[in-house]
Parts: sequence; C-alpha cells; structure tokens
Amino acid sequence: MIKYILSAIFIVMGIVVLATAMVGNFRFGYVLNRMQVGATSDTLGAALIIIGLIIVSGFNATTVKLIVMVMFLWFANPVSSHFLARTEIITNENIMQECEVVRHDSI
Amino acid sequence: MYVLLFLLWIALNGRITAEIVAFGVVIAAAVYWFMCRFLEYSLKSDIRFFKNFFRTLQYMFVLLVEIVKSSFAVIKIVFSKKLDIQPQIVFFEAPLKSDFLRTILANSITLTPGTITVDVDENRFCIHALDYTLAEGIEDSVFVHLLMKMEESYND
Repeated sequence: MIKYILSAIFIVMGIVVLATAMVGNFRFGYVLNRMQVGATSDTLGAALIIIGLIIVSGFNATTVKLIVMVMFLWFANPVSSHFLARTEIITNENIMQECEVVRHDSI
Repeated sequence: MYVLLFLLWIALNGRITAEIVAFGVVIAAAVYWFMCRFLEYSLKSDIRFFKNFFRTLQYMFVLLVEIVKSSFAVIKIVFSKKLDIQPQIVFFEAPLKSDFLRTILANSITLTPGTITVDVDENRFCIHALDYTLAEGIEDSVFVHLLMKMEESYND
C-alpha cells in the first residue's frame, strides 16, 4: 500500500514538472527561452515519472529496463537541445537584442 | 564493460536459462570486439574507468543535486508574476584536455535546466542561460573541479 502511495507522489510530481514546462512554453516569447523551459524540464519530469514506475514494479528485470530508459533520455536530450540552440544562434542575425553576451577570461 | 554488456543482456531477457547465458556470452563478446575495433575503446579505458569509479559516482550525485536545484529555480521563474528575466550568452574557458571529458561537461551543462551549451570550440564553451543568476559562477562550477581531478588521474 505504502508502495503505491509513494509512487503516486513521484508520478504526480513528474506530471507537475511537465505541466510547468508546458505553461512556460506559452508564457515565453523567444525561441531559446522556450526551449530552455521545454526541453530541460523534461529531464526532471521524465525521471520522476520513471522513478515512480520503478517503485511500483519492485526490483526485477523491468527496473533495469526503466533505468536504461532514463539513461538514454538523459544522454539524448542534451544533444537535441544543443543542436536546436546552435542552429538558432548561428542563423539569427539579431541575437544581441534577445540576450546580452558576456565573455570571461579575455576571449 | 564486458560484464556490463552481459548483465544488460540478461536484464533485457528478463530470466536466466542455460541458452540465454550461452548466447549472452557470445553476443557480449561480439559487441565488445566491435567497440574495441571501431569505437576506439580498449582495456585501458576500462581500467581508467575503474580507477575513477568513486569519482564517477560522486559526479553523478552532484549532477542529480544540481538538476533538482536548478529545476526549482526554473519552475520559480515560470510561475513568477512578471517575467523579468535577462537571458545571457556566456563564453568561458574550461581547462580540460580530453575530448571525452569536454563532452561530459557540455552534456551536464545542457542537462541542468536553465542552461544550454551552444558551442564548444577547443576548450572554449559558449552557454546560453535563461537568467543571469543561473549562469553565475559557471566558469568554475563543481563539475569543472571534479572533471579536473579525473583528468589528473588520467595522466598517471
């Protein structure tokens, strides 16, 4: 019984995080800010939901599969968001209007 | 790594029988050979990994903590009444030499909500941050220190 309550808490937390990502997507205007909220909240949201599922399933082969899923998501997610951000910054001519540029270490 | 591949095979099968174990030994060996031959993987990098095992665990833990912390920061920004954010593009240098560790650093920066690695050129990193507070102190964060320690042990 406690198992189900605990996993329900985790899954609801994950859904809340993903819903936050959606709200953020509508509130921000500029591409990069939207992407920050959308793509990167996925990391925590998906992980929380899968932790909830792991608690339900207990310790067996399914758990390992779910952990492999989290690892795959966490390796693939940064790559896609990196490419989107890079394309945006290379192709946008008015990037200075949207964000301020800071340089460290005299580059 | 061979053991890891074998365990993954067993886990994906979901049960242990004689046939599955026999097939697993052969297939794990084939995959390991492929990794050594084409992905520049070797026994040496295995040993290097085991020397850094505890540091790797520590790094994963720090990464988790950072993800949760900055997630809350981003959630707070999203639900704040006025969206007064100052997005920034930050350039900084990280003194890392190996490509692998640079990739790890870039991936962890992108994985933490609120910051995205835009470009990596030699040891120059270009980061986009949702708000200037999220980019503060990024040029000598915990990640960089831990990876520096790992790199030192690589040269031993």
